[in-house]
Amino acid sequence: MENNYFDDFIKKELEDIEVKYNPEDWDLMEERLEQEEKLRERIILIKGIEIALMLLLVFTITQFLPIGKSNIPAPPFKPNLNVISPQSLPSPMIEQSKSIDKIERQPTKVPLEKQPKTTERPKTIIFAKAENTINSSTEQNTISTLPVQTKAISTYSTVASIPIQATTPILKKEREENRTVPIVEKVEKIEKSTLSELDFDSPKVIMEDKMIMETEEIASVNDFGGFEVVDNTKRDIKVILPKTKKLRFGMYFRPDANIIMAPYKDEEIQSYKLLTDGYTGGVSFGVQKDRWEIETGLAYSFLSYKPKPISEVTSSAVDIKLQYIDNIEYNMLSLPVAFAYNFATVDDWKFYAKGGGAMNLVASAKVDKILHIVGESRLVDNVSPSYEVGLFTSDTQQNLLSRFKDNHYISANIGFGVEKVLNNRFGLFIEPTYSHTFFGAGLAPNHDRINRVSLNVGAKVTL
Amino acid sequence: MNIVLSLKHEEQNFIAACIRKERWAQKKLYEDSYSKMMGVCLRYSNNSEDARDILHEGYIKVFKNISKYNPGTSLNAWIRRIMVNTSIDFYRKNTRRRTEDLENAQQKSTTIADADSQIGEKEILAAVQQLSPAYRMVFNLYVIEGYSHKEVAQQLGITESTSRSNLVKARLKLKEAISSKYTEYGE
Repeated sequence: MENNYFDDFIKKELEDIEVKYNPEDWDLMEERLEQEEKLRERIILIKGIEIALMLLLVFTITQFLPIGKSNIPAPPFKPNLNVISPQSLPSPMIEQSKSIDKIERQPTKVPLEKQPKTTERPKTIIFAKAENTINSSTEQNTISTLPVQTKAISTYSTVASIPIQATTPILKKEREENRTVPIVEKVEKIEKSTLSELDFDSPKVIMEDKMIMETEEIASVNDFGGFEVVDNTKRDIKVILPKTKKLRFGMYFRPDANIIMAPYKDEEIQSYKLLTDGYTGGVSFGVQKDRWEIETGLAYSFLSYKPKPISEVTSSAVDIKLQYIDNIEYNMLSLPVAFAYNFATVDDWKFYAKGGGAMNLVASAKVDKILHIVGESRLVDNVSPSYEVGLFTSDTQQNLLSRFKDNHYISANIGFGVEKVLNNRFGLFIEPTYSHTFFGAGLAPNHDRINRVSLNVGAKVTL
Repeated sequence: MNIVLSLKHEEQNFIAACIRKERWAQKKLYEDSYSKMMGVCLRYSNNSEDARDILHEGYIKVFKNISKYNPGTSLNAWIRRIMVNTSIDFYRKNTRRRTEDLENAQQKSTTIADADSQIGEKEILAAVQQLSPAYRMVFNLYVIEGYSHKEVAQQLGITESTSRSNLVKARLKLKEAISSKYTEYGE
């Protein structure tokens, strides 16, 4: 009973206790809210990057998965493979290669039961220079039993085995009968449809893709993207550059220096420029053919700036209102289309020029406005309403970003880049770019235009 | 009737602005409810710094979840509920870090108490703040919020018997503190 009385007394005193409002606490709260919003944006960005990286990883793993990998042990020699760029080969090599001696080969028997059972096509594209020497017939015999799907096609013997892979449909029946098949015999089956650049007496293994594609049963050879012929007497090699299209996937990040022109066309107010930083992240998809590449993708950009305060002054009988924009933040999506031309290749470095355009769309914008009301009828002296506008919300009073034509602008991009070729699949690039805005009325109430100097840094993978 | 409808309409607009994260609406909500919510937070903490942390953490949740608020019900009651839950979270988080024996923990003084004032809500609040966190939480939840011992035990992750025991000890300490204040002022 005594406890109940005590509890009631305390509850009565404390239940509705009120503390005097402290305006400084709101400042702290606002600061915290801004931190939360920035954190949320960062989390979204990081998650986006994570997803893109995961996709890249999945693509990569998929490409490197040993589909149809042979269980047969590795060959008893280790070819010294030096990956070279086809463009880097000096032309005398081609001439030299024409003079390669005849390679006398006897039909050798391949025990088919040791060959891989799979009919999967080999997927590795390798331009290789082999320096190993195979002289003894024993070694040659050993090599001739190499699995058909050897990844590193580095020796003549191995090359000779490729058509076997290519002619898998032909061999099916023979495999069922558990017979052995002479390699050269099978190689010769595809000679009919080849164009020889190097005229080996036998077998002729240099083919142009165009011709290979004509024969369905050897189309798998084309998956190599062309292959090289290496003589096994320490001579030079000849590389045929495949004229195939390549699909390339890239990811990049770039710091931006945004040059804001505001207002760009208002005749009453003198235009001014201001510089602000920002950042962009994106993915790209491109198709490369020979030296040309066409590329598109999707990019996200963020920028924030304080425009020059241009006050709107309105007055009534008792109040004077001063209103201006304090800060603008843009979250933007871009859809770029660009052409790149690879004008030079030095060793593993590719140099290219790039030009194109982009459709830029404001996904959301946050506008902080300062409103001063000075007068007798209002006690409020300084109010800072802030609002977000964009694709899904708009400021109907200001007609700000409420229509598509206010939400977007078109820019032209120009730049050049350097790509470091890591291997036949991966490359890292750096790409200074300038983006200039064309058309459009300009963004925000000030009709701002955004030009941009950027430094793209990223990676590309050939799919 | 018209006035009620008008107020309801105004609140809906105000809530809609909060959902759109318009800062002026957030500020208005903060200003309107600050006094009461700060009082709640002070009861659950032992100093004004912690109370402000709880308050701001609570308002972050309020602004984040304002779309879940059911218009027509009491907004203050909804915010208060969030503040109480945030206080419980704050207690749980700090309990994990605390290594000293709660019963023998040093009692920290509050900045709220004003020695010159009469015994009243401020002094009682100061006495509650001087309780150890475990006692204070049980006392607040049971006496002020009206939770049962079972609910208190579930919320704080303790047993019902611990909750009862802590409540008894909290009452004793509060009575001692308040008695000493009366004696002090009586002299």
